[in-house]
Amino acid sequence: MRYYKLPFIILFLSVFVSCIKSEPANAEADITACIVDGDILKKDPIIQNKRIQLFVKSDTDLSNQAPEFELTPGASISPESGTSRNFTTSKTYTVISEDGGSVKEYEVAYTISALGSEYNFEHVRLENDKYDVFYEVDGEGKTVMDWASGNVGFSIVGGNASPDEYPTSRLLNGKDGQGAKLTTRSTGTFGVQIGKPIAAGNLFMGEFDLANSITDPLKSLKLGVPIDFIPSALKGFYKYEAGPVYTNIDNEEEDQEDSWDVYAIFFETDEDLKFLDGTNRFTHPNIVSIARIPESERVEADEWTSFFIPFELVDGKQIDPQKLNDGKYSLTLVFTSSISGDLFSGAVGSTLLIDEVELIHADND
Amino acid sequence: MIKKHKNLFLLGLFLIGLNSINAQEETTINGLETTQKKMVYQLRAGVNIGGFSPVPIPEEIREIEGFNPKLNFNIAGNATYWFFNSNAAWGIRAGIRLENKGMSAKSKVKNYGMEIIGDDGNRVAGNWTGRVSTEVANSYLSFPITAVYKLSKPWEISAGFIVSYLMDKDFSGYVSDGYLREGGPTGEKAIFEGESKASYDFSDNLSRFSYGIQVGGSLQVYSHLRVFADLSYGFNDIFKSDFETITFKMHPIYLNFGFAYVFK
Repeated sequence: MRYYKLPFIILFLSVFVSCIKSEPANAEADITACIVDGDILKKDPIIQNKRIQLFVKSDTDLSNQAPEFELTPGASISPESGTSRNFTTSKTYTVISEDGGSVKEYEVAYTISALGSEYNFEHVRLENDKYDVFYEVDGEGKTVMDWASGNVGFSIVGGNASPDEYPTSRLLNGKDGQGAKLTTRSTGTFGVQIGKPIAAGNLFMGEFDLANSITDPLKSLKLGVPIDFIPSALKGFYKYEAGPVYTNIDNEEEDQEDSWDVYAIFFETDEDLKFLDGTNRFTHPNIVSIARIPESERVEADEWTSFFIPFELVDGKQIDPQKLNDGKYSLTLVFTSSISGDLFSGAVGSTLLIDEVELIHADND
Repeated sequence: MIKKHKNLFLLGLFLIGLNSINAQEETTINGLETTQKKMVYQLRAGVNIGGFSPVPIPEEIREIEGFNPKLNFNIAGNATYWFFNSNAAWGIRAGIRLENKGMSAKSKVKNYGMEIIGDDGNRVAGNWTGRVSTEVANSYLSFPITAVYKLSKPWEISAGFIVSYLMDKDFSGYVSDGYLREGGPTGEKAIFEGESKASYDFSDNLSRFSYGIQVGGSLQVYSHLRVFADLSYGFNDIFKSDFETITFKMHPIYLNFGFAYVFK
């Protein structure tokens, strides 16, 4: 009668060989934090997947800097964290994962020049071989700022889209030279699954935090870069065509016309507020002044059309020249092809073209 | 599901047909063991309990958080040819079995190959760290061929090979509470938390044929009724060989048990 146990013994043995193994070594090779000495930073380091940007004060000695890095547990970096290097040009670091299987190169750049006030969208590079990134340069051709966009997010849902099928891409024939083309795109089945059925074309000063963009999209917009002038007005040229079918976040059609948007927000940073995000960009008490295109001008235009928007000072706000010198003020300038694109509502196909944008300020008006 | 029930119904008709053939074959051998025939037919009904699993479990799988083997019904018929006319005899048995193999599993994984695919071919491939929920509901037409040995009057054991053909398929699920590194461990990182989840569907990547071994035994409880249990293990990966997203092979491991009606 003992034979009745046979199948159960075999079953037990098969479970035995199936037990959980010990945890594998980490396969990731990330720089998770970048620490620089003193208070030379004007802004927290921007850490992207393969690039770190450090905005430092103008009197910083770039020829001898020793940034320190925190890595994915178990990973190693070369040159070592804390090595002194000459950062008058950007430097490369190589991170190797704990399991040795992954190698990632980071470009680390110190930026000393302040952001200019004219934006012609002539400088574009292809990022990750997939999509366009606009950037600004100083008089010596060094990168001063990358324009942020949601392109990196679209690169995950967008399959094999070519660069000009991304929400934000270069416009070869702008008003003068190149311009920027922002197009509201469908994010396909995957985008619908994660509750983000469209991706509006956007271009802004700040960072797009991809990691958090799925869970908390409004917070993933980190708006603002340090600025050393006081803007009084925003001007530029646009063309706009609204897409035919307006849909909301549930991908349901709504009887509504899409619209574009542009706004600039000048605000003070402090210990608690390093940047504005999608939840507080018009309401945070640190905001000093706002320039936003009025509804009457957010219209379609098939010819290059100019806009001129004065900054309006928030009641009771004053600008402290000392803080301005210390880099305590930040500015964000935001363009989008769908005004409610941050809430995933808009019309696929809405297209905003922009070029020759300028911030008017005391030194240039 | 309707299709599966229809298949079960057709198999039932087939087995009833077998039985009627059997009825016409009634023979007596040497005047002894008059109930013992060279060909004996069985009709079986049972359930499959088990799962699809890599063997051994790879290091990418950190924790099994939940597992439900589901109640997978099956119906089968077989014919046994007994070489000798005694109670301790060898036989060879061929059968046909219509069976469902399903499970639902929740696990935590680290750096696990994943590809999220939409209907429009839109896809996101990369390495996932976090929770994976998997649902499998496959149905197979299986053909076991086993050697049978009578241990004693009520006891029988058997072992042999089994070939299965996949008829209905579903291997799908979703990922949540974790992050995807697009394209590989050094790719862009996208976090899924709270309500955010993304589904995947590997049904079309399942292999049509599988083969493996089956061992088991049965016990006579009444003159025409036996209880049986058979353990089967699939040797080949349940996925097609060109499917590279899941980097390890998965095997069906199922215990099939139930009642057998013996025509004699």
